[in-house]
Amino acid sequence: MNEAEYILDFALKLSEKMLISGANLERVNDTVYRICDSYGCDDVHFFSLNCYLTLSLKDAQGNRVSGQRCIRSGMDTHLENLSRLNQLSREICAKKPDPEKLEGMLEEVVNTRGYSARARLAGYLLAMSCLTVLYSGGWKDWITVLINTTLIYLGGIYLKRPGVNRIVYSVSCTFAVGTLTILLTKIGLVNDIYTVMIVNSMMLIPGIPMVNAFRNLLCGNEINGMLEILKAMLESIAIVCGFVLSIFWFGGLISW
Amino acid sequence: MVEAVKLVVVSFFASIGFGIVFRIEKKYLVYAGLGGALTRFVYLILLQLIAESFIYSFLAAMAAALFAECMAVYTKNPSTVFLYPSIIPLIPGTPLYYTVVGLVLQDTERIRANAVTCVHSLLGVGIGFVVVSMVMYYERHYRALRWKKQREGNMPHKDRP
Repeated sequence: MNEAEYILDFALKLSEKMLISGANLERVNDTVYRICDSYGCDDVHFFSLNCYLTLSLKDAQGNRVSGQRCIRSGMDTHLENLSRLNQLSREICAKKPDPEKLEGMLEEVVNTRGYSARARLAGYLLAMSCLTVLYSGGWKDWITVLINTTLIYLGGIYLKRPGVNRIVYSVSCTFAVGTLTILLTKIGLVNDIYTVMIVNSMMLIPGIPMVNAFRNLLCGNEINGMLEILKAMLESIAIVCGFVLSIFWFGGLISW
Repeated sequence: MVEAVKLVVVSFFASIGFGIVFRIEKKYLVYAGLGGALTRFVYLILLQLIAESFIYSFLAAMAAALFAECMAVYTKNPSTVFLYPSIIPLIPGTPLYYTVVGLVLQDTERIRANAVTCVHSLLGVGIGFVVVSMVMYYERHYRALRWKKQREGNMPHKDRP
């Protein structure tokens, strides 16, 4: 491999990791152009979508290379990784290490350990408890929300795997949660079923991707914005379908 | 007043919770909470002054984005790290949920009542971010260009690209 190929490979892998971790497109574009610029690359062309990247560049010796990358895994927000990747790109622009070492540096950053599964569950429980208060839920609703949150989290561990469709995951989770909520309502453990369902749907509703999609639309990344809006809408419909299915399953136990 | 203070405090902890969910570095969790509390505080004030959901969402989003940009400069991190937990109070979860419920159940009234609020809020939040992040982007771009010019100015003429 020549220098241009190492830089290309690294830039594409870095962009992929940044996008999965939650970076916005402008940040990713900026990082790629800066890295290429610091190695004296010329005629750099980079096009990015949240699911597809393509880069072509000419290095200081005049070698021209180009490459594409499909991003199959969805966004899994990991802001600590994003900070580290940002730090790495700064370091690379400042020190310009040997291009052959770039991939090793990237692996080192990505393999650092973050929060444990228990800590993340605690984070979800704290966030959902606060949302229950914000949506004026009572203590009974709070208990149900905590049970549902744990269920969704555990479901996420088993169902959020490569190959499992995101929509199937959302429908399954909300169907299970909806059914459980109706059962708990029957035994008197829920004050307001709507509060519980809305709070738990906040855990799954793609609020941040939706806001990012609108931001992309307004920033000139129209294709990406439209794709993201469509994806977020489909996921939201899947979430509601799960709840509605659970209600129909119980023969209109609770009417809308 | 007591209710408003309660909402701000709860938003602080909600943003810390989401900070853990989004896996922010532990040392920045308090900043994430402060971002959420500040956004809620601004949102509550604007809610008293303005009736239009687009305008108050836009202004509150600008406050959240400004906070995130300031923290990004201070800690040398991408602004996204502080922006995501800060915007939690602005996500129109309830109207979005009811819009989709209306869509699934073909309830036009429900869609009409919630979709407009939802789109207004999302547009307001989106434009609020874009305004702040564009200003910061061009400021950074301008500084980088100036730095590049200075660097080239200090180079011997034969070495200039």
